[in-house]
Amino acid sequence: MFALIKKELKIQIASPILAVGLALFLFLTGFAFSAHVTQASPQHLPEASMRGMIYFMAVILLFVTPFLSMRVFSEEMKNGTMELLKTAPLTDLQIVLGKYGAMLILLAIFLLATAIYPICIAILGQPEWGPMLFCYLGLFLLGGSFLALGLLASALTKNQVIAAVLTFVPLLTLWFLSDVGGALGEKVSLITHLQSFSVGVLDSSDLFYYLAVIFFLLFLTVRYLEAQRWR
Amino acid sequence: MEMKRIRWQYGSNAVGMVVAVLAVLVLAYGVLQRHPWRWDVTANKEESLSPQTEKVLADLKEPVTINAFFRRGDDIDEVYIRRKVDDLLQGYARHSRLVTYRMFDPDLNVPEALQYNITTDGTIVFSSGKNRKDVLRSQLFDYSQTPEASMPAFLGEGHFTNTILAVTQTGQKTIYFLQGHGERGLEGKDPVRFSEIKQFLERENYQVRPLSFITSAQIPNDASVLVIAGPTKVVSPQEDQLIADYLQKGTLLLLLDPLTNPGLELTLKELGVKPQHDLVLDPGRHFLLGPQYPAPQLETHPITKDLLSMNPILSMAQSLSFTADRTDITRILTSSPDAWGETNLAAGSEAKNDKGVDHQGPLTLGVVLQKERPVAVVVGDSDFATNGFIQVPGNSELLLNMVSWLIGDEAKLEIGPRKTVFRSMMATPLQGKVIAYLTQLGYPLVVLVIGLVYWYRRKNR
Repeated sequence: MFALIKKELKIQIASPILAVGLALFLFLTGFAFSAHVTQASPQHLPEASMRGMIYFMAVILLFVTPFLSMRVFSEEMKNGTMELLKTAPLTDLQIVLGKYGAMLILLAIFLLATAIYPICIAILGQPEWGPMLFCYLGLFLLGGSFLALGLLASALTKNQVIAAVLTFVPLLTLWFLSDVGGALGEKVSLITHLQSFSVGVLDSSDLFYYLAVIFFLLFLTVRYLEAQRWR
Repeated sequence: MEMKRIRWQYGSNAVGMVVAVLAVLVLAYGVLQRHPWRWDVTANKEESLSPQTEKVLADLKEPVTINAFFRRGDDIDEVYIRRKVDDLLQGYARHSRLVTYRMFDPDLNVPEALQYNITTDGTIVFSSGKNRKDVLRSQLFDYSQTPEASMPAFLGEGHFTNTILAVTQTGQKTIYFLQGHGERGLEGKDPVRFSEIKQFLERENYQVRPLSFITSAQIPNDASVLVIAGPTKVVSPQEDQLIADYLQKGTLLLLLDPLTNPGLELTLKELGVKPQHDLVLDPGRHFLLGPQYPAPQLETHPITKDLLSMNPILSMAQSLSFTADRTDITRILTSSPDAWGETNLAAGSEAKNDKGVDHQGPLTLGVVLQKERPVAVVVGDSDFATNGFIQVPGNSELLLNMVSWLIGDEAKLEIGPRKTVFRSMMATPLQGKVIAYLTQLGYPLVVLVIGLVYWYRRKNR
């Protein structure tokens, strides 16, 4: 499994898309961050925390993660290497976990790259570090949920663009559910559960929500790969 | 055929398993949502509810709906007050399934704003059944006692929790307004009547009833407060005796206008307060129209506590006096030192301050009598609470606070102000520029170049 993670990472790093993607991600979040810092007025005081940033970063993750996940299985299927992978001495669960683990590491790299903002904040003010860490934990879990869906979508089709669309559309729907879906929509929506993390609180139900979403999507992916064997 | 059967079996097995897993997860999530466990890492536990609030929410029996109406600024997360309110009320909703909370932007959610008759930005409507009570943004922070450098203390939780108690209280308190002596009427739209303040009181979940000694030979036992508002005719000695006796256990709000003589000797003796039968003219503090509309100074007292940013206005008031040894009587409304109480009220006489004849300021315009319990509030004016004056900012609040102080709403919780820590960060223009260029351009570019160089080297190795 670790060999698979390593192989996946190598493939990703070997492609220039990752560097371009990361630079774009940093450009967009940097745009938001400098606005956060410089647009000050009495009604609009910048706070020495990541709270003002977290939703913006979540939106950008929403756009970035489908591109990270779209090729994972689709490419293997297109290149015909899927059969190879399946005959390797790995269970379907190990394959899924290996691919997913590699993506989580990429996500962590993306988020770690934004550590420049907390550093700037610490220079300009005196932030509380606990809530700051929780902001990142929340973003990591949110991004992890996005990637889990992306993984499933990628397993469904060998066309990368379709995989990205299959990831993006449900994510966007889940996102807006909090605004249009009433009370139930708020419970189901991916974004509402970020709120407790953003204010510096670890809420067991919100934590469980993200873990459950990730677990369920990975479970579906494993089932789907298994199903391919007998279909 | 055999293959098909196997496939079908596998397929239904797989679907069944997926459904089962989903069901278990949803169930577990439901349980966790009802009994969440929260770890607050903020320094002041700002995001946690006080034990009093938790108890009130745990004891809730009826659903409570909270609708907050705040305009959205440019960026939702930047408008501090809105965010503070939102965080706290979300906590309430999370804590009790009976609490439903929504935040609206009155500009975007016009139907809701109209439905709740919202006229002020920053209104938070608490409703339960047909009870409704509003909390306004102006009440949320204590700006008075804050050194400039730090943030004003946040009073929101105390207000919110007490308001929830108020709208869910089943035992309504009854307020009786004495009638039959030319007092202010409770019905009718005339500016001299009390119909609007009646509505205000009802909105605070009080029952308001007229009381006439013609139909009832006593003051009802369920009277939480007896209000005598601007009687113009003499109250008979028998009635006076009833009221004086009632003061042994009841509470009285007495509003006495000048130029009237309602008697009430026994009651006033019991209270220890004497109306001065003068007309207060206050050149130092008055409404634009003239010194006969004094804007009383608010002395420190629970009644005036949250009115400090407002200026209630009286109209044609008289001053009050009490002997200096009465430590149980406290002034709450006073005039400026420039004021005088004109005693020559004959028609056509000139209003001027005759030293030695007229009463000299600062004059007492309103007092409270408190023994072991609140007993009475006496004000030398009843006009301030009439339909004609009730829209003056502070006037309705003043009367409502008098009533709630007299009732001594035992349910009212004292939830201390929360220290708010706003960790601001300030960038000088130069720092701002450096950050803008660094985070938008420099840093992403460096990352891009490093990434591309790495990729290029690997490719050509």
